[in-house]
Amino acid sequence: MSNNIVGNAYRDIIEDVINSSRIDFEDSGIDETTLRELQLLWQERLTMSGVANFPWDPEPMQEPEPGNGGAAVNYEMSSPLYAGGGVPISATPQAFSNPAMAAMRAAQHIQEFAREERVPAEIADESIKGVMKRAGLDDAGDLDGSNGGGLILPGGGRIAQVDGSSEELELTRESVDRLLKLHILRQKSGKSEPAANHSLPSNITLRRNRQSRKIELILSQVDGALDSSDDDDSDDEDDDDIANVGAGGSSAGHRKNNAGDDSDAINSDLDDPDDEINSQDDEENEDSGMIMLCLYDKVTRTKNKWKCVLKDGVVNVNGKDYLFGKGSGEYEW
Amino acid sequence: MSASNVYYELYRRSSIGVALIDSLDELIKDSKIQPQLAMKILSTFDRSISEALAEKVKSTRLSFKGHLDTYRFCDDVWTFIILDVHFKMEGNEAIVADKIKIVANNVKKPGEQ
Repeated sequence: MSNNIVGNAYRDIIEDVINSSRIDFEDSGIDETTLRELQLLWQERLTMSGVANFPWDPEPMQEPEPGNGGAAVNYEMSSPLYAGGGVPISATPQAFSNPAMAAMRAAQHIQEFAREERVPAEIADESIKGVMKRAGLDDAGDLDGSNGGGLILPGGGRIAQVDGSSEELELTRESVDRLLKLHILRQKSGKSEPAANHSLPSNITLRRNRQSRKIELILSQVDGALDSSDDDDSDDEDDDDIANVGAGGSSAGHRKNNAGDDSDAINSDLDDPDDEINSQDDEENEDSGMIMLCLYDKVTRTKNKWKCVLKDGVVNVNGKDYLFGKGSGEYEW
Repeated sequence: MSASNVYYELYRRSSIGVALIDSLDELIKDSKIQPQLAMKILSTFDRSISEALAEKVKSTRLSFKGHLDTYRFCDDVWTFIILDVHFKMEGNEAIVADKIKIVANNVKKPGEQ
């Protein structure tokens, strides 16, 4: 049963690759934990594929994702409180030239995160207040030269300073609250798409600072949806044409449907049969696996009888993997 | 360093190769590693799986019969699509499949005599 050897063989390959790559990781200045993470991800994916039983299956997998997610939340929670949300803002000063805008973005971002990560609303609110407080102060400091309002207390005594700042805080908080509510409403009303779009710029900034899987997921989902919608619109003539130009393989089926189409370009007679075979192959491969990767020693044919001598093969049949050192096949055409 | 050219990249399409590529993609997306490092790891994988197949499963045999649907020989690579395949594994284990695609590279690598 060559399926039984697969688990151990794959384990050996993984260990060999991981150990051999240690020096490459060191040369690139990458931490050993990342190498370990690669190994775990690799093993996990193989286990999920179910192509064989693996020696690492019984022991519980250390899932690296929750740890990272937790760290991300902590970071997110603490940074606005301590630094007044200064981290993302100062990272891209040009983008947020207006501090109030920056505060809005930060607040919006915190809320989104609170929703995604199910952080208690009070804590998120505290963070937002922190951001707003900070931005409000800065904002007022800039504007008050013309305003002459409560902040520039000419008396300037020790008490007056404290009073002034707090008074001024309440003022900005009111206006900011209004804006915040507006944003919340907007987010609630157009929950899925607009929220994701709104958050994109700040998400990207954040991703530079730390790892965020959630955001990755949002981004890749957008990609996925686009791709599939392209594929699904098979009756659309425009799509068909685009597909013909872009990737001939996937369009053969469509073209067959539109047989009356006058899209017989110069190459189409030659391309059609090949495309059809290719597209069939590729589709089936991606769907069901069912592939044998190997080396050939000899391939012979007498009339319609073929014989081949194969070596060093990996076969995926009916969802299981098999390995062979020597293989032979006979088939007639 | 000619080592990267010596081994076929063929096996990257196998389950274990795809699992590795997906894992590397994930690490690259999280900016935990650079794509260059991932390429290095992949060529290490090419070597490792080629050696493992050549050395550790040398004696394992497999034979099959079927109906040849498509054959192609291009760039020194044979591609067969075989229908109604009957596999015989070691230990007389038999497996039947509707269809299998075989991609086979030359045992003799380019430049080898």
